[in-house]
Amino acid sequence: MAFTKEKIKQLAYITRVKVTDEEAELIVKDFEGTMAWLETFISADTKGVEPLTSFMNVAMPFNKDEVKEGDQAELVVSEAPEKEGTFFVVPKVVE
Amino acid sequence: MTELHELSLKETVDGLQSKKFSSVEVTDAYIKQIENNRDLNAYVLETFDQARESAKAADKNIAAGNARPLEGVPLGIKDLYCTKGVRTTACSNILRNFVPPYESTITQNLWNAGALMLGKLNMDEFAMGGTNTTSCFGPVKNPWDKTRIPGGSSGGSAAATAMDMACATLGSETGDSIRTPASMCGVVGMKPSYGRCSRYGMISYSSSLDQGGPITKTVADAAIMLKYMAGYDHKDSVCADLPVPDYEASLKKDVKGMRVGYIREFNELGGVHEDVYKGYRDCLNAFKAEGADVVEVSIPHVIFAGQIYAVLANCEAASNLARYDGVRYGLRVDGDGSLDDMYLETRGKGFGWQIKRRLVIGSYMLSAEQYDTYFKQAQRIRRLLFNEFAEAYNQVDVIMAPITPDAPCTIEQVLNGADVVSRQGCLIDLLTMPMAMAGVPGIAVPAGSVDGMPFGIQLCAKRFDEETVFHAGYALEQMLKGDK
Repeated sequence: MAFTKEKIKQLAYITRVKVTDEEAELIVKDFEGTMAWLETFISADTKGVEPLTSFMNVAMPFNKDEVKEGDQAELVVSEAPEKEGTFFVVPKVVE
Repeated sequence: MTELHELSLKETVDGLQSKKFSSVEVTDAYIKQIENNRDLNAYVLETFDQARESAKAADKNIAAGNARPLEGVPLGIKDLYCTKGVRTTACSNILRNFVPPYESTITQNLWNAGALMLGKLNMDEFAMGGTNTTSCFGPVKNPWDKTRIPGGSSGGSAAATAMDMACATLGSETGDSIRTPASMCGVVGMKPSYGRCSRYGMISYSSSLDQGGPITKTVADAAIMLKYMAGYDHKDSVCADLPVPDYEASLKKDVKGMRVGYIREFNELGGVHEDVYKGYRDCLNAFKAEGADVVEVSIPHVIFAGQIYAVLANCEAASNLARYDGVRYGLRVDGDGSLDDMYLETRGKGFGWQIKRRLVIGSYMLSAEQYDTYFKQAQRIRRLLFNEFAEAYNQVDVIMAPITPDAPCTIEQVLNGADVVSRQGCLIDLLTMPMAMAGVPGIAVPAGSVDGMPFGIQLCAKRFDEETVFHAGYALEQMLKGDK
C-alpha cells in the first residue's frame, strides 16, 4: 500500500487530530520506514500462538456496586474548559 | 564534609529519625541545589512553599515521636503522576494547565509514609520518547555534559537524581524509560514487575506496559522507595494482590550459587562501544569471581522486541489518548463551531508532532484491515518472547545485559535527526525492551564510563521477584565500589 499525504490526512482525521501539510509529509516518510522495518515482524511464524493480552492470569476483579465517593459533580467538572453549573458544554451537535 | 543534599535516601532517613538534622534543613539544601541548577531544565514546576510547610510538619512529627518511615524526605515527582491540586501536564500542551482533583496511588503511598514533594519533573511528552527532547517545556540537559541528552522518558527524574536535586525521584517505564535515563545519568533506576505498583493516577500511555518505579542514588534507596510505593490497589484492575516484601532485607553482598544469565543473542551486537562491552563482561566476571554461576541463555525473539513495542505502544496510545477531547479537562481550541472541528483543532494544537505521528500509526494498525497483521501479530510474538523468558528463568535467577551502548547523543544531534540517534535508539530498544515486553522487574546500576559519560548495567529477574533484582543489584554495586 502506498502512503500518500492524502492517506495520512485521512488517518489523522479518523483519530481526530489535525496535521499540517508539512507534518503529513514527515509522517509519510516515517510510515514508509516503519513499514519496511516491520516486514520481518509480519512474516515471523506465529501459527497457533495465543496472543498475549495480559500478564495477569486472574479473573478481572469486580468492585461492589456501591458509592464510595459520591456527590462530587462540582469536582468532576472543575477542570472543564467550558461548563455550565455541573454540566460540560460542547459545541451544538443537533439542529 | 558531606552536604545534606549529597546524602543517600537511607542516610537521610537515618539522620532525620535520629534528629541529627531536620527536614527543614534537608529540604532547604535541596531547594538551593535546584535553584543552582535550573539550567538543566529538570523541574517543570517547583513546589517549594508546599515543601517547606510539609518539612515543618514532618519535624513536628519527628519531635513528637510520631515519625513515619519516610518522614520529611524530599522527593521529585515525574510530571506524569497526578498530584492533587498541583499542576500535572505529562509535558504536553494539551494538559498545560491541568490541575488534577485527585492523587495517584503511588504518590499517595509515599505521602502516607511521610515523604514530601519538591516539584514536578520534566519528561518526554506523554512519556513517548527516549531523549527528553519532546517535552513542551523544552529538553533536559545531562548533568555530566550539558550538550547531551539525559535519556528518556524519565530524563528530568534521572538528571535531578544525578545532580542531587532530590533525595530520590519517581520515574515510570513503558519500554525503557527508567533504565535508559538512569544509565545515561549514572544513577540507579528500578523498574518493578508490571502489576507490582498501582497505575491509578499515572497518565496512561500504553496500558499493557506502563509501570512506575524509583530513580535513586543507590540500590538500597530504590529498595526502600519501592517498599512504600508498591501494594495492591482496587483502583487498578491489573495491580497484583500480593504481599510487598521488605526489600531492604534482600540487600546482600553474597552471590555464591546465584545463577546469573547473559543473553546469547546479545553477544555479537555491532554498535556496542568496546568500553561498554568490556564493562558488561567485567561485571559478569565479577559475579563469577564471587562464586556465582554464569550461564548463557537463549531468547531468540528478543530481536523482535523493538517492533512489538512499536506496534503495541502506538496502538494502545491511539486508544488511550482518545480521552483528550477538549470537553472534560485540558486544552480546548474552538474551530468552525462544530464538535468535529473542535476535536481536530484541540488535538492538532495540543499534541506535539511525535504524538501525532504515533496516533496516526496506531490508528492505521488498529484498522479492521490491519488489526491481525500488526496488533494481533505483536501480541503473538510477545507471547513467544514471554515464554522464552519464563524458560530462561528456569535456568537462571537473574539476567544481566548492557542498557545504553555508547555515550548519549547530543541534544543537537537529536533535534537535527542525525543518523546516529536512530542507530543508538534501535540498539537501546533491543537491549531493554525485551524485559518490558515480558513484564519482568529490572534495575540499572551505574557500571562505568564511556567517552566521559556514565553507562549502567541491568539485572532482571522473573516476574515479582524484585528481591533477587535488589540482591543482585546491591551485590554489583558493592563489587564495583571495591574496584574504585
